[in-house]
Amino acid sequence: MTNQPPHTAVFFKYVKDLLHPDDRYLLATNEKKVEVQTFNLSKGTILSNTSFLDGHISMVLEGAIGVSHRLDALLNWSHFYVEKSWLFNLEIHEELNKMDSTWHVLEDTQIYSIDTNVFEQNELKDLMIALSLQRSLLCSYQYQHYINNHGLDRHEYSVNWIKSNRKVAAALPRKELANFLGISNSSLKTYLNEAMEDA
Amino acid sequence: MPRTKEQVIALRLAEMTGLPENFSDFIEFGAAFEGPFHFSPGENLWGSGQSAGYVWFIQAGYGFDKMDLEDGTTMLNGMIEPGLFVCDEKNLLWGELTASSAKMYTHATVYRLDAAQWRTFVYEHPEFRAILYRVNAHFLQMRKLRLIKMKHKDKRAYWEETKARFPGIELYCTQTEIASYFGVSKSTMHRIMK
Repeated sequence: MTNQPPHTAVFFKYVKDLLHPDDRYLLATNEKKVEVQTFNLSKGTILSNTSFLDGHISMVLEGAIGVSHRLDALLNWSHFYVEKSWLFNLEIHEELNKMDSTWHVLEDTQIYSIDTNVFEQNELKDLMIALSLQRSLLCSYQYQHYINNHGLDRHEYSVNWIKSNRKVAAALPRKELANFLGISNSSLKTYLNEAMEDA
Repeated sequence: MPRTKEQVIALRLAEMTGLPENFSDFIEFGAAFEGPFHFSPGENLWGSGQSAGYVWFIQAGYGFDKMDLEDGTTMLNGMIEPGLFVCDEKNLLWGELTASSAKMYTHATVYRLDAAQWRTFVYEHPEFRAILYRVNAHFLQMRKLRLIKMKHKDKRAYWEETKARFPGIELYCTQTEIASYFGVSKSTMHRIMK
């Protein structure tokens, strides 16, 4: 058994959910052998290369990271990784990053991570293959999720998003927040008031 | 000369990856598919809420796939066209009921591979797996661009671009589905489409 950081039980619950149901037995039988690594990122850090997470499955334990991209010289936020979000560094992978995608650490952030790069003979190999396949599929599926979110009614979605992400909303300049939610500055003012009234 | 399903699928994988079409994993992958199946205009490849899941390869024919949104509406996801591998991703990821549907609007010839068999194949073929990861990584970049276009591209210009890419889109998708695709209200979409 490895020396594990605290909160790994909660983390493993999410790892189990990440796996395809047919593969969950792989974790059940090997959970105590899986090493969990921690990474800490300081507020204000800007990253456009995270090779230290290549081949890892990683989750934000606490903190917040915003992801920005550039289109026609305009900086856009696409999504935010908050507590219990799976973190996909493929979006800022050096070789594929064609839109100047960048991570902005908005709060001190702690990441839990499992390195899926194991040798052929490693007893955890089947589990790591199952996890790396899910990471590959989920990474692009997550973007579909962001796309779907943008197809929802702007009013209801914006109010709910602000309610669930107060810290991130407070950290962004109003214009950038309105831009992220796809609404006007005046709508943002109204929706912020609605979200605050319900607080 | 007619090509076998193995050759048809291996050729497409070779085009996508730059690897030779006689690469043994490609041939073996193609052989695992069932088909060909033929669909008529208006027929669904799959519907929403189904437990059975497949990876489909489109040899010929055009259609649209649509996503179910959390508010109960549907959103146009994209066009189904020759040479594409398509599936319900939620079903493929976790074996859940399908959360999308795919309807053909022309005659179509397709092949399919059961999702569980697909997963087994990927697990047992490390080189194929590495290729799949590369393809997925490029797919991610395409979705990234789609998301940012949806959020920030001039909507009229985006509509013109979409009409050129999906001719006849307004005949096969409702205005609500198209509005969701553009991230605007139905009334705004109505103005854009005028």
